[in-house]
Formats: sequence, structure tokens, C-alpha cells
Amino acid sequence: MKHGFKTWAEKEALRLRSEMQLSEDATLPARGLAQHLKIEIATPPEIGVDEKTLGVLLGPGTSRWSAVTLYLHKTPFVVFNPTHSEQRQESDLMHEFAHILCKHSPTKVLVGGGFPFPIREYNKDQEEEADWLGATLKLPRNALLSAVKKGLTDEELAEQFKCSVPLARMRRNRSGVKMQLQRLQALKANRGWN
Amino acid sequence: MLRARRGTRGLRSVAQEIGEISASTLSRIEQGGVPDLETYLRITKWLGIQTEHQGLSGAGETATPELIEAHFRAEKVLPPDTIQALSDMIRQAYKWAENRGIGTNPSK
Repeated sequence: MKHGFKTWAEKEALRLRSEMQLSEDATLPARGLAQHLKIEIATPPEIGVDEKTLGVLLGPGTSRWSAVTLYLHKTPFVVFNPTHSEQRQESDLMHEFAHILCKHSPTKVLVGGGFPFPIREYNKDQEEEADWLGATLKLPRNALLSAVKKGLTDEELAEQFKCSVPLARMRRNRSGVKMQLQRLQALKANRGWN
Repeated sequence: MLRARRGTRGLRSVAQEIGEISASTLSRIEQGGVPDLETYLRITKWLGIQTEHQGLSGAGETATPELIEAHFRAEKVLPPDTIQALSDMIRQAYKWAENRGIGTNPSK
């Protein structure tokens, strides 16, 4: 992850809330953000995928895909899997929007050069950035700190911010909030504060 | 080729030797699954095959649907019926987007 990316991600989460006239600790719904960013999102049935294909995509193949961002005339649009839980859909969409906000280059698919079939190029850095920004958009640090101070559990955080429990847990553990609170509590204990 | 080279050795042992690949991924590739680039390069290196990937064409927005199924990030290796379904979905997605005027209509 690039130096300063995490700070930028926090600022993006706040900037977007401000543009959408939401408070800093407000829940940011993915569909609302899509509307704000003017990104069209749709499910396979909505785009007119035939029944047989739907049978695979939303049946046995449903666990194998989440969402995809495609570009037409340099304009992104997202097709997502509607069979996953609402929280998972929120995370999936945020991940895709994060790629767009980061202006990541689309995944390249390589053809020829001795390869017997098309091969995709997996960009680990871009995926990490999208994971981080997607999660930060859902749970910015200030909102997280305020909620954790109130004693919210990961489940309650997920419920309040409409995200998955693993995402809430990841943000609690990796945003620095957990350590900040632990230090604060240790300081209070040392000084005999309540 | 992979199956032949592996011979009677176990998937787990070969996966460890190739590095950064699971036995289940290796198994799916042997059954016709399509790996991502990094995995493919690791396997070809293990097989001793030279690849010339520097000069390859990248598929951008003009790519055919058959090539961009690999955009999907959920799995490193997908079964053929899922790949086909994803290809069909992408093809349909572009038709849908064209009809909606995405990228051409400022209000969209």
C-alpha cells in the first residue's frame, strides 16, 4: 500500500459523507454512494441475463463471484451478485467503488505469448488498496472510535454501519482504534481516573 | 502436462514445491480450471516452460467477453461452467450498458 494511502482513505470517507450531506459517523449505504458517484449498478437479472446462465451464476456458481466493474466509453458500471447477504453486497460494492475512486487500472487479461488460454493479471497492491478503502468508507476511524467507546460489539458495529461482522472486526483491529482505547484505559488506570 | 509431470506425487507435496499455491488450486487447474497470471507463471517455471509474457496484449474495455471473465476476483480458479456463465453475463452487461447509453449520455 502506498505511503499515506490510509490517511487519504479516511479523508475520502469523510469527504464523500460531507458531499452527501451525511454526518461523519453516519452509515454510508453502497447504493446511495453509487447514486452520488453516478455509477450504475445492476444484478444479472436486471441486465437481462438468460435463465440458463442465471441458473449457474446464482445457483452452484454463486459463491464463486461477488461483483465486477466494467467500463464502457471509459465509464464504469458494476454488476453484482444479489444472492449474497445484504452486508456482503455492501462490502462487495464498496470494494468495487474503491477501485474506481482509486482510479485503478482495470485488470489486464493477457493473450498469446505462449499462453494456452487467457490469463488474468492479479494486482495485489490494487486489491489491498480497494479492500482498505472499501472498509474505511463503511467504517471511518472517527465513527469507529466513537462507537467502540460506547462499547459496541463487532456484531453491533456491523448492524449499525450495514457491513459484515468480519469487516467490522478488521476495522476495529487494524485501524488503530483498539490500541488507542487500550492506551487511554491504561492511562486512566495509572492516574486513577474513572 | 501438469498431471503428467506430477506423476504419482501427491498434490500437496507438488503444491509446496511450486510455492504459494494450494493443493486444491492445483487440482482445479489439472481439471481444466484457468489460473491467474502469477499462479500460471509459477507452474510454468516449475514445469521448466519458458513464457514470453512481456509482449502480450492487455485486454482493456475493448476486450471480448470471452477474455474478461477473468476480472472476477472471488476465486483464483473457476470451473468451466462458471467461466462460461460469467462470459455470457459480461456480454449481456455490455449490451445492457449500450442500451442505457452508459458513457455517452451525461445523465446516466
